[in-house]
Amino acid sequence: MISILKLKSGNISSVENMLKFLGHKVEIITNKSELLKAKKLILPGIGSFDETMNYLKQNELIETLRLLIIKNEVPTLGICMGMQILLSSSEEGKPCEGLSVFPQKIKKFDKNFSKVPHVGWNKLEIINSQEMFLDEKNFFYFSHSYFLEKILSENVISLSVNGSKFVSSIKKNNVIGAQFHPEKSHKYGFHFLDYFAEKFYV
Amino acid sequence: MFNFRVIPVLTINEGKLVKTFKFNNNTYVGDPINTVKIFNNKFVDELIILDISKSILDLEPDFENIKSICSECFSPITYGGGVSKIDHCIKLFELGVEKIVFNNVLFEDRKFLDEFVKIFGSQSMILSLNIFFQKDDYFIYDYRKKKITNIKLKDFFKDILSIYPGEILIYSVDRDGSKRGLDFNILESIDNTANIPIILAGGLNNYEEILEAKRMKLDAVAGSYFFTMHGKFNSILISYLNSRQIEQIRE
Repeated sequence: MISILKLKSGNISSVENMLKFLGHKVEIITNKSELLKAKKLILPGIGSFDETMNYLKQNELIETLRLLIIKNEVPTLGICMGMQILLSSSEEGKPCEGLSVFPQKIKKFDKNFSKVPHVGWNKLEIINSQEMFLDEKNFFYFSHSYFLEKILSENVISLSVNGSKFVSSIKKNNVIGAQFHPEKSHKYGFHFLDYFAEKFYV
Repeated sequence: MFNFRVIPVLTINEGKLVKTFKFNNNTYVGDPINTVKIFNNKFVDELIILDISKSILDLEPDFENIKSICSECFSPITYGGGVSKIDHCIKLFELGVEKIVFNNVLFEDRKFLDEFVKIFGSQSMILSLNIFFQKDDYFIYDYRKKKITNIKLKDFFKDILSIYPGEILIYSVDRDGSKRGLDFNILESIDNTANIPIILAGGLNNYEEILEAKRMKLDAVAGSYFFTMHGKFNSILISYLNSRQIEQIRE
C-alpha cells in the first residue's frame, strides 16, 4: 500500500491515478495517525514552500514526518514541492524551516538560467542511477521556479539543464526526491513510479 | 536543452467537444473523454482544455467532467473556463489539473490573479490573449462580446507581465480554424525581454510549421483543427505527432 499525504493544494489525483493504472494499491492520507501507519509514502505538492510548511505545521505533521522518514525509514518519494520541503529552507515565501532531511537550500532561478519558471519536458543527466534503470533518453515534465543548486554528489540521482545545470532528482537512504512530475510524464513516469512502488525498499 | 512542446487545444461547449472557426460556428467533434484517451495513448506533450460555455455564461467549471478527463490522461492538463475563485483552483489542482489558463479575469479581477500567483505560484498560471489582426496591428479580442477592442497587443503584453504569469498563450482569433498557418509575425509585435514562455496558437496546419516554431525558439505551439480535423470537408480525425516526429522535436 502506498500512502499519498494530502498537502494543501496538492496534485494528489494525478499521482493516485497513475499508481492505480499501474496496478498498485493507493490510499490518500491527511492526518498524524494515518501517517504513522504508512509503509510507503509519497509527498506530492504544488504551491509555495512556506504555504506547504505552514500547512504541515498547522496540522502538526512536521515532527511525525521527520520521525517517519529519518528514524522509521519509511520509503518516501517527494515530488516537486514534496521534494523541495525535504531540504532545510527555501528562498520562496516567508522564511521557514523545511523538513531538513537534506541540509541544503532551495533557491530561485536567477539570470544564469534561461527560463523562469522552468516549464516543460526535459532530459536527465544521470549521475547515480544504480538500480533505478533511469535512461538518459527519458523525458520528464517539469514546472517550477525554485530549484536545488547543490547537494552532496552521492545524493544526486540526476541533473538537468535550464540554461545552467540544477539538481533534478536526489536520493538518500530511504528517500527519493524528484523535481519533475513523474505522474505527468506518461510512459517515463510509469517506469519511475513503478520503480518506487515495487523495488524501492531500504 | 529546453524542450519545445506541441499542445492540442480541446474546446468544450456544454459537455461536447467542438471545433470553433474564428471563435464562432462550433462544429461537433466528439466526446471529450474519448478524445483525451486517444491523445493519452499517443503520449501527448500536454493538453489545453477550454470550456467556452462556462466562461461565456459565467458558470462554474464542470468538476465531474474534468475529473474524468484527468483520470484518462498521464500528461499535463491545462484547464480554462469559468474559474473565478481560489476554491475552484484548489479543487481543479486536486483533480489533477496542472495549470489553469485565465482570460476574462484579466479584464475584470486582477487582484484575483495576484492572489492566485501568491498561493499557487507562477508556474501554475497561463494567461491567454486572444488576438485579432486588423489594420496592420494586433488587437485584443473580447470573445464574450465578440468584439475587437482598441487595446493593442504590444501594450497589453507589457502590462500583464506584472502579474507574473508562468506562460502566455497567444491565440490568433482571425486564424482560428482557418488552416492559414500560425501567425509568426505576432512575435515581432511583443517585447518579451522577461523571457516568459510563449505558446502560439491559431491556424496551425502542418508539421513544417511546428519545426519552424521550434527553430524560432518558441516554447510551444498549440492547435485545435490540426489535431482534430482533416481535409476539404473538415472531417473529424483525432491525430498527434507520430513517434518519429516526437523524436525530431525533442532533438
